[in-house]
Amino acid sequence: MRNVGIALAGALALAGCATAHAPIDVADQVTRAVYSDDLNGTVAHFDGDLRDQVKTADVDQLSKLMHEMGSYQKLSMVNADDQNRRYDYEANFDRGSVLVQMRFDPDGKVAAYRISPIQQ
Amino acid sequence: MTKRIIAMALCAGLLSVGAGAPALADGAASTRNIIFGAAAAGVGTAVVINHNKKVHQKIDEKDAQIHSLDQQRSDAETSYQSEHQAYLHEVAIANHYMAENASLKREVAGLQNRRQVSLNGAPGAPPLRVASVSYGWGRL
Repeated sequence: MRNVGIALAGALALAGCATAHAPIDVADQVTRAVYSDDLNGTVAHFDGDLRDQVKTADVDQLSKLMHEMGSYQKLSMVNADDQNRRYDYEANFDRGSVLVQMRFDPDGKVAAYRISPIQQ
Repeated sequence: MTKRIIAMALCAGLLSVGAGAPALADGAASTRNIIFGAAAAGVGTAVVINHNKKVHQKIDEKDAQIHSLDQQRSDAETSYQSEHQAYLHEVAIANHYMAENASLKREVAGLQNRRQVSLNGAPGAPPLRVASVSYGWGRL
């Protein structure tokens, strides 16, 4: 069942790559890829510098952290700063949520992606 | 002081021996008295010279001791000044870092406040309690 979920999330992430460019869509795709422990999907929207920083073990660790909160549900916007290309979202899971914070570079690539657990 | 008294007594004794002799004086005795007197004067002079030399030596030693103490005091003052300068330098560095640290704390507090405001979202919405730790990549 988990594999199906992972495959579905990966498929959704890959399918979204072609069309999604809105920050929230990119955030959702990256978050789903991380949740699915998918390294390639995670870095798909990252710029070169950020891509170099990502290691398989890091993605695996974040994926485990997310799975501790259950299944990934949705992403909702918390704050958007278009001028500085900074966006905050709340990612909801079955048993918790995390704050997803992203910064885009001028080319629209992800220059920073960080998550912080939200205390319930 | 004691040596001086001894030397003077010795001289006086020798002179008195010589002085008592003239009652029986003849040529040989006169010559002997002259020799005794000269010897006594020589011994007395040598004792006085030796005594003076020792006194000067003591004075020189005292001077050297005083000079040494002055030098030590000067060295101590120099060392203290050096240590004081080093201490002031360290204090300046510490103050600089403390000021920098305080500035950073103010900046972080400001950022947290701004983030809290932004996370509060719509009026009436409960604020999100975000953990201070974050995971991921890149600097926001």
